[in-house]
Amino acid sequence: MWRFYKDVTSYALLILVITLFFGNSIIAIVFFGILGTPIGFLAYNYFQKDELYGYYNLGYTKAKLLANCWLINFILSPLLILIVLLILKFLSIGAPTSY
Amino acid sequence: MLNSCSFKLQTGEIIGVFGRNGAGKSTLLKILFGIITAQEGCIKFNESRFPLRRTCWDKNTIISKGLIGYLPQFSFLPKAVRVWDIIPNYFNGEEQNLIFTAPRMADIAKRKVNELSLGQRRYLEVLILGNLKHPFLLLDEPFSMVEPLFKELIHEFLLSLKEKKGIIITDHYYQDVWKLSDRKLILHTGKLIPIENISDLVKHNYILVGF
Repeated sequence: MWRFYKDVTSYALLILVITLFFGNSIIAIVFFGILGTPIGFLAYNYFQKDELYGYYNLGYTKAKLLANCWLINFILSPLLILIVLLILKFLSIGAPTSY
Repeated sequence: MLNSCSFKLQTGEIIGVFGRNGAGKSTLLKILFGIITAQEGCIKFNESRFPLRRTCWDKNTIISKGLIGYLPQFSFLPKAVRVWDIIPNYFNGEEQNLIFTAPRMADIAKRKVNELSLGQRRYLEVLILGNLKHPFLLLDEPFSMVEPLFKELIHEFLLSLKEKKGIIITDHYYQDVWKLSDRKLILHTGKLIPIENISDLVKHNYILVGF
């Protein structure tokens, strides 16, 4: 299960990196949390589809794998947002302000 | 593609399914495993019934209940990973020794899957699936591209599994399937027909002459 999570999330993170170039970081993370896993799964389904049979034999259905993976990333995304906000806050300390 | 396909399988038995390309052998196995849906039909497992037609409200639970193991035609192992890192995904603790102590595994275990020959990969996959706890096993082309020595090992392994599992094998290496199976069926024009003799394979246009 964790290998599946790692594989799908690595595609989702790639999508996160790409979306970072097009918008602000918060929107990119929200996009990752909601749509990153389904899009990552589409990529997994294209490049590593055969490996799904290993999970089927372990009793994991496609729906169960996807739901677990999505739930973890969905829960992780607010934490990621918090981390990004903290980093931005620290970076802004001591920065010159204009009045 | 398939109609009138009915058979019984019990643990302690190996059924060989023969059939020409496109006859529906792999489709039959995929339907039984629950990854493709049939228009109608069901699997009766002891007293439980599992409909083969999947709908949104009636999911097939064969996979989640772990009743059937399925070896697809192609390799399902992640290619860039070493074998000894894959085994813990399937087995815990002592159970891993079932794989690591199997014949010829010493050489296989330390290599990455994409460094293994097709035969070694197939042998490893059969070993993994056979040692999982499913009471029934569907093997789609387990002998494909396998060298004679590995074939012998697979034969011995499947015969040892027969004590506790029911197995269905289909492969165009029909001599191997014939030798292993207790009962033989041929898939012809969508129907599953029991056969007894090699001459039945000729009769149903699967081979030209008997071996």
